[in-house]
Amino acid sequence: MKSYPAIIVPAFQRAESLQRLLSSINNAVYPIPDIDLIISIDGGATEDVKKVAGNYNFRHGNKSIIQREVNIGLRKHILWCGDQTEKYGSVIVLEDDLMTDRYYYHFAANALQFYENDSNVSGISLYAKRVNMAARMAFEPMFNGYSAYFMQTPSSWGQAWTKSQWNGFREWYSTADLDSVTNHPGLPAVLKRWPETSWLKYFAVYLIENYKYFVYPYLSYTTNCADAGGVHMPDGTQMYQVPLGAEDRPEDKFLFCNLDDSVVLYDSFMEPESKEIFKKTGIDADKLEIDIYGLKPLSLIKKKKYVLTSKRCRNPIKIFRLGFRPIEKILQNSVADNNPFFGYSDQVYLAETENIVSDKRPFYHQINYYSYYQTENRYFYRRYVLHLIEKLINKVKKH
Amino acid sequence: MQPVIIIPAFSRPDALKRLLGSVNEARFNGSDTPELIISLDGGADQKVTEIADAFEFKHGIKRVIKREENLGLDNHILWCGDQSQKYGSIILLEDDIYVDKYFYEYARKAVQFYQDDKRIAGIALYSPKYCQITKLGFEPMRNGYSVYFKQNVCTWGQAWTAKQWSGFREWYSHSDEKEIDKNDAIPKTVKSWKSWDKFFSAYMVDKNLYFVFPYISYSTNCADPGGVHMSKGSDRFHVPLSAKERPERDYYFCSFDTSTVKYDAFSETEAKEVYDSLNISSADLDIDIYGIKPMSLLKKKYVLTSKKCKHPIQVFRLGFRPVEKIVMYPVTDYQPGSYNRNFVYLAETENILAEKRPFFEQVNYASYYQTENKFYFRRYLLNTLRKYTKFI
Repeated sequence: MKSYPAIIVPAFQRAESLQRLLSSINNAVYPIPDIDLIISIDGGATEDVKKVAGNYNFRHGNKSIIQREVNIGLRKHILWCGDQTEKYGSVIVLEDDLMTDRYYYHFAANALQFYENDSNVSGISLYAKRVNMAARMAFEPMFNGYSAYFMQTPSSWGQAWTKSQWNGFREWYSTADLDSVTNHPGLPAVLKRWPETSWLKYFAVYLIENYKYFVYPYLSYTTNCADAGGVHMPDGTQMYQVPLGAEDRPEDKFLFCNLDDSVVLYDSFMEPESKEIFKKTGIDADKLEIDIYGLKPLSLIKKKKYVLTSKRCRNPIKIFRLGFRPIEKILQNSVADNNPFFGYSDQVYLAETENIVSDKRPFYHQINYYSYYQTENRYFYRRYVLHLIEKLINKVKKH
Repeated sequence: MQPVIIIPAFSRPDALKRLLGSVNEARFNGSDTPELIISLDGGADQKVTEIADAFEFKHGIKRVIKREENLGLDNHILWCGDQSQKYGSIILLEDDIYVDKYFYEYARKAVQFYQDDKRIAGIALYSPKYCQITKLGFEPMRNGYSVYFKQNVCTWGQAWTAKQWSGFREWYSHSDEKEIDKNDAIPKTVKSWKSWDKFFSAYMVDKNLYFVFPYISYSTNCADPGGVHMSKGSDRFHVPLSAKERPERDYYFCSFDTSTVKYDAFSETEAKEVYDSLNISSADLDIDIYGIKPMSLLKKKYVLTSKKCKHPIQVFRLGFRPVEKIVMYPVTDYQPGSYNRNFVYLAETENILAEKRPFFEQVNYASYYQTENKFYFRRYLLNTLRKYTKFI
C-alpha cells in the first residue's frame, strides 16, 4: 500500500469537542505534507460546529468540508465515512469527542500497511481499551511482545480501515438480516441493548460470524472524552479516558505480528483466548469456554463441555483465585476451595459446563481485583457513605 | 556486567519453590555463566532448606548459604546488598516474588546502562500499579523508552551496582531515625515503615536520587502469608505479567537527564509538559495533585493541588489520563467560590484553605470504576460488615 489514509471527522452537535479534536490533529506529526482531512457535518448541525469546521486551518494537507442538508443519523454517517475507503484506499475515522496522540497517524498508517493482507483482520483500533463496558470494570490485555494484540470486538473510538476490510463488512451488511443478527448469542447484552443508531453492534456480529478480529494497540493513540451531548451517552462520562503518552517523547517504534502468530487474543466478551490458557488447563479451545468475567449466557457456555468461569459451580475440577495479573495468569496456581459456602468470592472455577449452579457473577470481588484497590478500609468507607448521603440530599433538594 | 542473583529465604517453602521455578524458566543470553545465591537466615524452616538444597539451577551456578545465627530480615537484606561489593552488581529477589522470562536480560542491561548515572540509586524489576504513598492506582506516563524514574525505593525485585549500594551504606552508617521522622519531605507512609526500605527512601530524598522503573513488569509480588511485614498475605500487589511465549523486545534506556517523565517522593509528576502547559517554571510551582504534601513543604509561589483553595487561577478536572494530562484543558463550568472534589486547582500557595485531600474521588478516577451504584453499595456494606464483625 503506497497511499496514506485519509482522516475523516464526522461532526454534528459538539463544537467545543470538535475544536479540541481538530487542534490535536494539528499537533500530531505526519509522514508526508499533503494529508486529506474531511470534516463531514451531518444535517441539522449547530452553527458553532459549522463555524469551527470552516475556520479550522489544517496545517498538514488539504481540508474539505462536507455539509449535508438532510440528517442521516449516526449509523449512516459512519457507514458513509467507511465508504470513503473506495475513494482514498484507506481511512481513519475520528468522532468529535476523541483526542489524538502525537503519533496516531504513524501508528494507523503502519498498522494498515502491515495488516493489509491479513484476512483475519477487519480493522485497526487507535484506542487502547482499559474498560470492559459489558462487565463495567477494568480490562487489561496481556503483553505479547508486540505493539498490538487482537480482539473480536470493533472499536468506534478512533479506528482505521482499508478498502478491502471495509468491503468485507459492507458485503455482509447488505445481505444480513439486520433485525435478527443483533440477537446473536456472542453479542454481550449491553451491546444488544444499544439503539438502532449504533453501527457498532452490526460490526460486532460481523466479526463473530466471520471469525475476524480488530487490531488493538497496547498504548493508546486516542482518548475518549465522552463529552455531554453525544448520541449514546448524553450526560457524558470520564470513564473512557485512557492514558496518553508524553508530548515530548521520541517517535514510537512499531512491531506487529500476524494474528496466527499472536499468543494474545480476546473474544467478543473480551475474554482471553490465549494459547497459554488452553495449554495450562490441558483442554482444547473447541472444548473450553472462557467466562472469567462471568457474563456469558448459559446457552452459549453449554455448547462446550468445559468452562473456566467465575459463576458458581459444583464439583470443580480446579479452583483458581483472582490473584496473579493479568487474568490469563491466575492459572499459575490452583487453590483449595477455601470458601465453599459463599459462591460470591474471588474464585474462578474450571468445571464441566453442566455443573454451573448459578448464573450470577461475583461482581464485587472482581472490582477489587480489576481496580487495584481494596475499598474495605475505614477511610474509604467513611467517605463513601458521606458521599452517598450528600448525593441523596442534593437529589432531595432538586425536587 | 553480570549481576549475581541473591534470594534471601527463611520461612516460606512454597513461595521459594515458586520463585526458583520462575528463575529456571527465564532466559539468560549473556555468554558467562550466571550465579545464584540462596541465602538462608539462621533458624530457617527445614522445608525451605530442603528446597534450597534440592534446587538445580539450569542456567548456571547455585550456592546455598546457611547460617547458625538469625540475622532478622533487615540485616539479612543488608547482607544481600553488601554482596554487590564482592560481585559488582546484584539482583535481589525476596521469596514471595515471581519473575518474568526476561527479568535477567532486562536487569543486566539496565545495570550496565545506568552504572555511571549519578542520580540513580537502583533498578526496579517491578512496575507498580498501586502506589503505597498515595494509596491509589498508579499509572506512569509513557515516555517512548522502556523505563521512567521515581523517587521511591523498590523492594519487590531490584538490582544494585556496587557503587549504588555503597552510596546508601555510607549514608546509612550515620543516619538518624529521629531526623527522618522529623523530615516533612519524607511521606508519612514511608515514616511508618519499620525496616531498611524506610532508610533507603530517606536516603533517596536526602540525596535527591531516583530508582529506574520499567513500564512492563519483570516481577510480581505474591505477598504470601507468613511474611514479616504482611503476615496475612495479600493479592493486591500483583502486577501484570507478560505472555510466556513472546519474543524478547529491545530495551530502550534514556539517561536521567533526557527523560521528562519523573515522579517525586510523593508520587507527583515532575514532567516538563505540565510546567510548559501552565506556563510556570518549576522553581515557582509545587505539584500536589494527590493533595498529600504537608503545608510546610509547599513553599513555592504557586501550587497545583486537589486541596481546597480560594481564588484559583485555573481549574482542572480529574478526567484525562494519566494525571499529567489533566492540565491540557481547564474546566469551563467552574463557579467561583465553589469546591468540587473532582477538580484540581492552580492557585497561589497562600490561598490553600484546607489540607484534606479528596480521597474518594481520587479512588474512582484511579481505579477506572465508579463505585456509586446500587449494586456495589449493597455488596460493599455487606462485605465491610462481615470484615469488621468477623461473624462469618
